[in-house]
Order: sequence, then structure tokens, then C-alpha cells
Amino acid sequence: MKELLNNADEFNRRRFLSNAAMSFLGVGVMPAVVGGRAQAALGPDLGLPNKVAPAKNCIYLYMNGGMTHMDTFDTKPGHENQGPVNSIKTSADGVKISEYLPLTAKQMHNVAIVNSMSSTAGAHEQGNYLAHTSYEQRGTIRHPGMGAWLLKFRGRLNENLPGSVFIGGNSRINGGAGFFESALEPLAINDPNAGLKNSKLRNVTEDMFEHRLELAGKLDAAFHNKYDLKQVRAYNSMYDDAVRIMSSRDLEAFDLRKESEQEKERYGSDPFGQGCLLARRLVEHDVRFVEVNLGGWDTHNGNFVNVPQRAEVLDRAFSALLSDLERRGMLNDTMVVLATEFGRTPRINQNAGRDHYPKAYSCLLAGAGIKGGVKYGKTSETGEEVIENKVSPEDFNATIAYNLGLPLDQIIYSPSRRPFTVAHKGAPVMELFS
Amino acid sequence: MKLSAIVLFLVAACAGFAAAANQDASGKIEQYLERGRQEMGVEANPPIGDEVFLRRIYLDVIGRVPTLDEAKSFLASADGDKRSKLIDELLESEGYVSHFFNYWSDILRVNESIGNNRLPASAHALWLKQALRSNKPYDEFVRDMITARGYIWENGAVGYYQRDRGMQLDNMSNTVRIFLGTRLECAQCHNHPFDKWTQMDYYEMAAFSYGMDARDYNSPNRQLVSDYQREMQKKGKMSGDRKDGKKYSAFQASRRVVSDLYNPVRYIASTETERDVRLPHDYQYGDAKPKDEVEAAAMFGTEVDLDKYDSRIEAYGDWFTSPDNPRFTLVIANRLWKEVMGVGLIEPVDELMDATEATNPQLMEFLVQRMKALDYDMKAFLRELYNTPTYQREADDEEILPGMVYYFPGPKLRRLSAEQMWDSLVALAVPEPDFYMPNLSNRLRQIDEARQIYNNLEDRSKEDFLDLVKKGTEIYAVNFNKTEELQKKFNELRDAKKEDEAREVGRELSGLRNDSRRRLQKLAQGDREMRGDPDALYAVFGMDGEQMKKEDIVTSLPQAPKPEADPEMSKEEKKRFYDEMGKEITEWRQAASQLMRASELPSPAPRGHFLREFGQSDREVIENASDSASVPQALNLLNGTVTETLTNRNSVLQQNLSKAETPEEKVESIYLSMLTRLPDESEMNLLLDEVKEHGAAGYENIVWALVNSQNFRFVQ
Repeated sequence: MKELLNNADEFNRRRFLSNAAMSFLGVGVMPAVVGGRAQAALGPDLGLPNKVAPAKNCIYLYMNGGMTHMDTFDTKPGHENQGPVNSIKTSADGVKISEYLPLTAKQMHNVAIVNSMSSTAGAHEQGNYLAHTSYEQRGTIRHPGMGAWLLKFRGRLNENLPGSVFIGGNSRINGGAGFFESALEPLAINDPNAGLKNSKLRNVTEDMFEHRLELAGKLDAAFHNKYDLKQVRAYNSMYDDAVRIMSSRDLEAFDLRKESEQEKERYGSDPFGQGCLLARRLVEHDVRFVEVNLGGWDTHNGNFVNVPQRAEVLDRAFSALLSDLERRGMLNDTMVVLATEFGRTPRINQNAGRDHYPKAYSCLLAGAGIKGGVKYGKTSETGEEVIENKVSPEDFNATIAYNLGLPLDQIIYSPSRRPFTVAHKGAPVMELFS
Repeated sequence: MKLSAIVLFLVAACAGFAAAANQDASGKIEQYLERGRQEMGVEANPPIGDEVFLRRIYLDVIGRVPTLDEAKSFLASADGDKRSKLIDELLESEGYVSHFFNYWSDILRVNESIGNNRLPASAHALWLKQALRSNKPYDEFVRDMITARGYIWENGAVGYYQRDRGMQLDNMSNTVRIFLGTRLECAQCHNHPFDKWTQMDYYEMAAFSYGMDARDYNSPNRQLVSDYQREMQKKGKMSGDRKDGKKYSAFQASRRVVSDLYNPVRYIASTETERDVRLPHDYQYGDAKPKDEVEAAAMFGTEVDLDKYDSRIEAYGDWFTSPDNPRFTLVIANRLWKEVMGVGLIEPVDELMDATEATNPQLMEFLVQRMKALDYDMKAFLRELYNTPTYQREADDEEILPGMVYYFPGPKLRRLSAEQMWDSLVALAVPEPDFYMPNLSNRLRQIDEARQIYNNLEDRSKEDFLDLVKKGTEIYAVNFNKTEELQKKFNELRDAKKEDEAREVGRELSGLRNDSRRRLQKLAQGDREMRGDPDALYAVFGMDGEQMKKEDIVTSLPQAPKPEADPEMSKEEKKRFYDEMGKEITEWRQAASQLMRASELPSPAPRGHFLREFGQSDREVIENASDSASVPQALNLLNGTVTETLTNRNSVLQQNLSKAETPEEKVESIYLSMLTRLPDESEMNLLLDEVKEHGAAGYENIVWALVNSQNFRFVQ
């Protein structure tokens, strides 16, 4: 019902918008509709060339809780703020990272570290939201995340599988479909080892299953004759899709049992490690966007006890993922992102912990044309101030979006007719592209 | 013009004896609808029979299908007035509370999943149910929320401001959108591009409620601590002496102590402060300067004379909910119309502009007048709509194409909402589905516990309170120093590769802060009993009245008696029989612990829950529920546990099935339970064949097929 009505609104909106576009935006002709119910219009020209050979898909690793920059990718050897953590050399010349990440160190030739991240959102919820959507969290609208923007502009690659998948135990997901149509919502997976929920026959043989389907079809025949409506038909095709997925070879994408024990071990048997392995499988099967979450970075207390534990999990999975992608030749068109909402106070607090610190932190990019083996931006000796090439969450997301071939200047209107762009006018860091 | 004269006459005639005028009003509504249809050459759909009516009215008023007994008793009744009577009965039932709670929590974004918001959201939910149960008039209902002040254990409506804590401007935009159907949010940053609102209009409206404060409340005792800390700072006593001669930072420790003391009760209240709203720093229009203070003024309707009020929020409440407010009554009349018929007379319901016109303006005006004449009695208003012949016509089978106007040949065909779907399954499985509330007492207990903690802190004398802070500070300081030592030890152990010992120290280190907190709590508690008491709150939340009493609440499900194995069975057969039964009991226990109505589960249900898969709102933005089809829905019904639960020996459906004797009776029992109708002849033949072919498994197949059928998913 709602969908039908939205279509009705859509008609008026479209007509209205073409008028509005003329009067407010100075554009006479609407560009091609991107699809769905939101409307696109040209925004300010950023003067960027289109990305040549953009990334095909993206694995987005999110460090929930605020990953300490000082103890991971922005170490300050010798400074009292550093605490007991040493720096180690990496596979990239002149790039040092924390001793907590020895395996990752061997992959740094593939990775660009951005040390000059700086945000204004110092609370988890707000910071997480901003990192995922490029917009401040508001009570009046939900903004789409990168996966949804990617699907909006470039569509799915494999019609049998969802275009975007979220892996993690979080109770809430930021960066979902936002105000876009609900079909762009990521499929959420709590347990990577459980496969796609409800995709297996339950206590019934294949023959009986088919028999039941047939029975349901017969019982519905009269209803279908009477109500030949879009919403009713949508349920037919939904059943077709569901049954097709159940019998599709693509279902294997969700099945970690197809991986050797050795491979699983390499990624780590924890949910994050298994999630990264699943992400690799999904991308192999042409899922566009996969996010994997690792929580536990909120180290207000016992930072130097808790961070090494988190880092161990990250280190194993992240290094396995990068080397795996590289070995399979997938790193050429798959971008890997490692992001978080903020860093942590360089000064160690009384509980041997570090508190929230949005002013300076680090995020990473790798693959699909990202320059490897570099550090971009700089913080002061104390780790407290960004002193070179500040990058906002919007800029960081613009860099991701640009590398995914998304038009940064194309405005999409929400159903309430407010204008939005993929990275909220952030500017991509062009120096990071090779 | 002639029409409005009729309207006025009618209103005058109706006022005062609303209930008696019920049928007249329904008839009048039908006349307006008929006129609208005639003008457009649209024919009304045929009236529906009792079976279709029964299913529809149950789903629409109480949000679930009728039980087998409920269905049988209605269908068997020969009373010529039975439909009207059923409407009355359902409106007065607890099921109405449950269903309309779902409706309103989608609009109001009642969200128990945000960490710190759980408690106030929970109180808001309980308050909302109480308001529906007592049929609080709509104007009071809105007024209570938008002027809400006090503590959650006395006034759950403060959850309305807690919901948008720290986002007061957004709260105002939402309030205007929900209750006045008007979009102001664009004007927060600049003049509205598509409507007439200026940024100044926005801030003038915001000025009414900007003083509402739902953040950390300011208690006198808390103030004391600030004074104490300031004094410490002044005297340079930033650190204190420990017995062993070492120093500790008393200042930092005392801050931690206070925040830990108040943490459990940080978000429990809303108050009105004197805070003024100011224009943003980049205000760009000529009528004022950036950062200027703004005086409250109404966006339309009657001007507000602030001098008459001590409180801006009271002025806001009066203006907002006045019958003279040009959009207040219109919005609720149109909303409830849409809820009943499936399509609003104005669509969308919350984007009104000056030029907005209803598809049937006379009817819209009539409904507005009815709402006023009924003194905003929502049940009475709904009753008039449910009693119209149009509501009781066949659901419409035409597609509404973009740009088309709907002339109401009947209500629209609708998919069951996520909650209707879930609640119907619950009603098929458990007895007394509307009163099964196993989580209720725990919710009340938590709210009461907050009350006790709060009172314990606030009831102290100045000296007593400062003493508590000082003692707490000492506890914390000692642990701070311990932290340093342990960290040193941890690093040494790690360097020496003594992983196990290091882990042990690590655990101790991580636990130190909890240890401080626990000891502080004990200190604060003294010998007081701080356990929350749900009994203290049943009455506050309206569970001691006619419609519902505490005694009505069901907290556990009955289990069918265990059948004995056939003595003729072999030992192995018996073992298999009992194993099977054991498995069934376990499955039932697991399912039953969750089988309560959606309104009794957390709002919203956790991610991945059946409800969320079928489109329950995530409560993030207004009216975010969805009825779109998705693959996980199909997979859930095809391969999930629904059929298993419904065919469990303990489920109501299965119990009824076992009482029926012949295959015909069994098939009828399933049909009546699930689709609220008897099978027609061809269906019966098909299903009898099914049972003949597959025996007992045939019934399971039928249940499965119906769970997966369109007949079940849609309200015809």
C-alpha cells in the first residue's frame, strides 16, 4: 500500500521537482533518473575528472568504539603519551606501526594510512553515524550509507544475492538504506558461520517442500485472480527469488564450510575473522559492499591490556584479508577500508585508559588503485593535533566514493525534498590514488 | 457555502450526545463518500459478508486475527446489530491498546534500543498504553507529551522529550510534523525552499520548547558538589593525602564519584528551563543578526500572548492543541481516516501546505467537525468510521497509479503490518494473547529502582551527601593508585612473555573500576533496601482499572498434559515417542518465552527478529514501518520455525485441531483459525485429498501452505 502511494506522490514530486530545479537550481533539464524514488539533480561542479577504472566493490571494516590511533597506526616512539607500546618496521619503507600489529606490518605496502583524520563528533552514536553517512545525526531523517549510495548509482552485480551485506552483532546499523528505498538495506548477518538465515529446508524433504509450494499456490489461485495488484505480485516474485536463492550455487557464498580449516584459522576463529573471510567470499560472488564490525575499542580503562587483545584479532583478519585478496588478484578492483568514529586521548588517564578523541585519529584505505605504502597527513609529536593535511570524515568518504566511481556532485533528493550528495561535499584526497 | 451551513447545523445537532449520534454520523460520512464517487463515476464495491468483516475488524481494531472461539461465537450470532456491538467490544478491549500502541510508537519513535534511553522509552511506552487504555482525549494526549515535565515514575510522557535529548530543535520539527502535519525541518538552516516558512518562523516556533531539558537533571545536591569542587580548586587542594603518605587527585576522583552515583538516574526527567534559543551563527537574512535571541511566536493561527503565561511550554501546549489551531484537528482526523480506510483524504498526511486540498473536501471538513464535536475522543471517532457502509465493503482491487485519486469504493487492500502478522501467529499459538505480559513486571521494577536510587541521593542532608562524596573519593583514589602498580606489573609480565600471569593481572586491572563502582554503590545504599517494586507502579500506569487489572496479567503459559505412550508399543517405539515429545516440549518452551504480542516485546524488536524482517519500524524516523516484500521474509516463512510452533502439540491451533474429530472438522478448524472463514467446496476437496494422501503430515502441510499464502498476508 505504502509503496503504491509513494508512487503516486512520486508523480507529483517529479513534476514539482522539475519546476523546482528550474527555479532554484538553475537547471532546466532533469538528468536521467537514477532509479527508485529519490530524484537526482546536478549539484555544484567539483571539477573532478571521472575516475578511470573505479573499484568494483568494497569491504568496509569498522572499528566500533573508537580505535586508539596512538597504539595502532600513529605511534609516537619515545613520547610519554605513548605508554608501553613500541613501534615496528613494516613492508613499506619508512612506515612504522604499532608492535601490536606484526602481521599487518607485512601488508603495509598495500595500504595507505591516513593519520590526519579529524572530526567534531565525540560521542559514539554521533561519531559512528557521521563516519558511516557523512552527515550529522538528526532526529528528522536517516541518511544512507556508502553501500546504499553505491547500489543507488551503480546497481547490483549479482541479481541472486543482496547488493550489500552487514556483518556484526550490533543492535543498530548505521549507514543502511537511509531514506532510499528499503531494497537497498543491507542484509544483516549476526553470525558469519550460520550462513544465510532460513535458506535451508527445515525438517522436510525436497519433494515435500515442492508439494507444499504447489499446495500453497493452489490455495492462492482465487486470491490472485481477484487481486492483480503490484503489491500482491511483489510477493510472488519474492517467493520466486527466495526459492531461486535456496537452490542457487550463489548460496555457497554464505557458506564458510566451503573454506579449509587452515584458511579459517588464518583469518581467526573469532566472529570478526570469520566475518572478514565471509566478506571475501561474498565479494568473490559479486556482492558490491560488505561491512564487517569489530567492537571493543572503547578503552577508557586498561587501554594497554585491552588494545593488544583487540589488535590481535584485527591483525590476523586484516592481514589475512589483504594477502588473500592480493593472491587472488582481487585487490585490483576491491577496495578495503578500515574506519572508526574517533581516536583516543593521547594522554593516558588515571585508569590507564584513553578517552574519546575526535580531534585526531587514523583510518586506512587499500586496494583498487589506492597508493600503497604511504602515510598521509601528520599529527603533532604528542599525537594531539593534526598538523598536516587534515581529513574530515566527509573527505574520507568522498575519497572512498570517488574511488568507487560515484558522482560526488550529483544531488539526490530525499522524499522530503531535501538535497543530499554521497559524501556531503567532502573533497577526495587525490594524492591517495596511484 | 451551502455545504458548510449543513455541516454547522449537523455539528450543533450532534454535540452533546455523541454516542447516540454515532449511526447518523456514519451515515453522513457515507453520503459524502457516495457524492464523491458519483461525481467521478466510481461505483462502490459490494458489501462484505460476516467472515470477511470479522477478520478485518479484528485486525484493524485489535491487531490480530480472532481466535477460533471468538470467530465461532460471532458467526453463530443471529443478532442483527452484531457488527456494531463487536466494534464497541473490540474498542474497549486490551487488544485495542496493543494494536494502537504499535501505530503510535511508529509515529512517536518510541525506542527502547538506545542504551541510555531504555528506561525513559520504557516509561513512555507504558504511558502510551495507559493513555490508549483510558481513551485519553487526543488533545490532552498531545498536550501531556509536548508539555511533559517530571520524573518517569510519575509521568511517563517525559519520554517524549527524552527521546530527542540534546536535539531540541529536531524535537520541535518532529512535533510540528507529527501533530500539525507540516514540514518545518528545512527551515532550520535556511528559508524553506518549497514552502513559505522562513528561518525566523522556525526559530520563533523553537523558542517555545527550547527550554525543555531532558539531559542530566540538575539536582540541588549535584550543585553542592560543584561548589565543593570549586572550593577545592580555590584552596589548591587538588590532591589529597593518603594514609600511606602518597597523594591522589581528589578533584578528578570526586568527579568520577559523582558521575557514577548519578549515572543510573541520569535520564529520568524533563524540566523546563529559562534557556533562550538563538539564531545560528550563519543567519543570513536582514530581519535579525546571527546569534540574536528569538522570542517565541506561533507559526499560524491565533497569536500567543506570552505575558499571560508563566511558562512558555504551557503557552505552546495551549496554542498547539486548541481547536482553533487550523491544522491540529485536521491532521488527526485525516490520520485516523487513513488508518481505517488505508488511504488518507490528504496524502501524505504530514506535508500540508496552504494549497493542500483533500480529495473530498466536504468529507474532510465534516470529519474535522466530528472530531471537535466528540471532544477528541479517538475511540468514538474510530467507531463512526468502522460503522460506515464503505468500511464494510469489499477491499478494492484496483491499482492506484501515480497521480490517481482514490474515491473509496471500499477500503484499500492491505498487507498485514509486521505486528499484525506476528500478533496473529501469537494468537494462533498461545491462549489469552492480549494479556500475556511476562516482561511487564520487570519493566516496572526497573523504573521503580531508578526512583529509589534517585530518592536515596536526593533525600540526604547537605552534610550527609558531601560525606558520601568524600568517602567515595577515598575509595576511588586508592584504586587509582593500584591501577598504576598493576599496569606496571602487567607490562613487566608481558615483556617476560608470561602470558597467563599477565592475563590474570589484566583482568584484575580491568575489574578495578567496577570494583570502585560496586563499593561506592554499597556505601550509598547503606542498609537501605533498593530493590525496585513493580507493585508501586501498576496504578501509575493504569493497570488497576475496569479494562485491566494487575490480576488479569498472564505471566506463564500452560502446558498441555503429557500423553502416555501406547502400551502396545515396543520398547523402541516408546523411546522414540518420548524422545519426540521431549523435543517438542523444549521447542515449545523456547518459542513460548518469546510468544508475546509485539507491544510486549522491546520497541523495536531486536534486529533480525521476525517483526523487523516483516518491516517493523526501527523507530529511528517517523512512520518508518514498511510493507514491502523481501526475500528474508519468504525464507523465514518457508524455512523458519513458524509452522513448527503452530503445529506444536501445545499450541492453541494444535489443541483445537486435536479436539476436532473428522478430517472435515479439522480442516474447518484450521481455516477458521487462520483465515477466519470456512473453506469453499473446491478448497475442501483439495484439502481432504491432501489429508488422505499424507495423513497427519497433511495437516502440517496445510498450516504451512496457509502461513505462506497471500490469503493470510493480506486483509481483504
